[in-house]
Amino acid sequence: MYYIQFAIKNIFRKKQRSFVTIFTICLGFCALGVLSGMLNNIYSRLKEQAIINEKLGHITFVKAGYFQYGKVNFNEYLWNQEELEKIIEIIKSNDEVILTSPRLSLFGTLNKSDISSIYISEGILPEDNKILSQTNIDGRVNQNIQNIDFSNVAIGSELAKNLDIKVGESLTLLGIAYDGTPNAIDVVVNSIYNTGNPATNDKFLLINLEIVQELYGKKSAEKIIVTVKNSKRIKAIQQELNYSLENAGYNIDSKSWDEISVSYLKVRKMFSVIFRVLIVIISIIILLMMLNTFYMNITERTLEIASMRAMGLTRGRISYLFCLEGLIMSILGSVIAIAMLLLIKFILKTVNITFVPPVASVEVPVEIILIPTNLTCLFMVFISLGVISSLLSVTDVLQKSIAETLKYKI
Amino acid sequence: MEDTIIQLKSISKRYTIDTQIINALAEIDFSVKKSDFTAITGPSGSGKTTLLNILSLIDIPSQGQIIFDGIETGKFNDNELSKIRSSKIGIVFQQYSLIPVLNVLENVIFPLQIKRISKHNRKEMAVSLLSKFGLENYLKAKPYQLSSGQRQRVAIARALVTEPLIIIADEPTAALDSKSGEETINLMKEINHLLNTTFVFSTHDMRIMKYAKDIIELVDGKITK
Repeated sequence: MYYIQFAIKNIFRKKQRSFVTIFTICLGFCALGVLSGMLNNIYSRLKEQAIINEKLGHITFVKAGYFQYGKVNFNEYLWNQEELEKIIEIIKSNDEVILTSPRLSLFGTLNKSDISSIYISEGILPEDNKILSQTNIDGRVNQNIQNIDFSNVAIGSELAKNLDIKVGESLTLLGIAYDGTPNAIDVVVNSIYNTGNPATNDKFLLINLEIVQELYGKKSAEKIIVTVKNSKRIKAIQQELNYSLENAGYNIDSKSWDEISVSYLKVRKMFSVIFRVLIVIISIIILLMMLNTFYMNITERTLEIASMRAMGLTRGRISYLFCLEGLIMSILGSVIAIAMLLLIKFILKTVNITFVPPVASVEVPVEIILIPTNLTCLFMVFISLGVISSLLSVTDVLQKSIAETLKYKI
Repeated sequence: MEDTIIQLKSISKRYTIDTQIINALAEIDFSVKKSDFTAITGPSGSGKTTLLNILSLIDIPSQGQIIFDGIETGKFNDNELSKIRSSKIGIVFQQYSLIPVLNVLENVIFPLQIKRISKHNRKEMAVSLLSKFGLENYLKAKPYQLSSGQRQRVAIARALVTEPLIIIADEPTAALDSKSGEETINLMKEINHLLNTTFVFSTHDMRIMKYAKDIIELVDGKITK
């Protein structure tokens, strides 16, 4: 306690210099905090895009081999109606599952009068889509997509624009049926929506599963999408369901959403590298600035250090005293920075500025998502910087003999 | 021999500046006994400060032995020497070297904290000593608020508060006017007389020297008388 009081008094010895040091720590912490918060926002929006907009849910279950060979031998990996009902029953028996949604893909061409274009689509039940769109993503429940009406078909906004398609108009969808023969069906466009991904917004149709099955000529599905109550337990629940389904005799394969969404992983990896590089650069800048301040401090206090040592204070205790000064300033700077980050978060929420995240086509609010674990890591980094810089700067003086240090003149 | 606090045997101290070797002390044999009030005098560069540094265990001789309180200190490490200094040696610096952020009371408490005296006792000891030094009204004052004479009294109180075997003072009156200098030396003399505290101090001042029981004169690192 004595040394803490002494350290605090020393910090207030040169108020302006201490203020600059604390401000530097605060600024560095804020810079990394804001950057980390914005990246968390981007990650969270990409996650939302993958789980809700790309309709990946949390876990995808398919027949074993589908992920490797399903694209070339599609029919081999379909579940029939009876299998589907049993698998869904097993999955639903898990209390932590919210949604069990069968899917069937379809692609082909669509015609409006004499204009045609290719399309890709996924058959999904409208009520399943409504539940999926309300999936909680990092504490947010999306309000945008839940009202998409596709009792027949909802169409990607870019595709609608390209073909000048309006809500209520009829289209003819051409596709390949189960037995390999071409088939066609007339549908009504119920709504036009932004898929959230520029790569799919000009070709995607959201079709009622029953219509896809009718065009395909068979009540079947290629995969089952599952969402769970607690997204932190996705992997655990995936394993539990794998075990239950295999025990029931089904040879299945499964992947979580982040294993399927390639863009999410790539973007996340890229930004993580950038963020780490920035952490190193900013940490070095802060370390150098703190070292500079502490060296000035030590230079002024060299005689004082010598007289304290002459009185019997050991090198270890003097190092401890200076480390405490660095530690207290780092804690102060970091605590002020956390308060500032909360203020910035509040201001951004109030101002409501929007941006389009990478590989997305929908504007989302600029927010900073502050994750306690990240803030704790930053806190530890800055505290370490404070302690290391004070220790480095005092070590030089402590290496000299007391008699030599007592001769020191400023 | 039982009364001997410090004994220096054939102490030499050499410094190397660039390539030149300077003999600051040469073959010094010297001892300090309990209750001594010894002045070390000599011209500038004669080795007074070096001798005091070696006596107070803040410098290590190039050659020779230091026997402090019956123990040879040559093989002691830095922490062990620090422990001896904190408990058995009081040091008064020429420029007082009071810690500017601490008030008078805290400055005097500081060595007791190093010695790990309990919080209650250290305050009691410091207040009692400062009262004897006529500084009871300045307990909360910062060093810069005191006169130079008062500062030196605080510095002596700080050196004395741990009840050391010896107090070593490097030109304790050098930064003081003649009146304050005389008051300081009188105070040291009084402590020496009343508490039997041993003092070794360096000085140039002939008026101060007359108070010393013994005078050691150094010239070119050698004791001449």
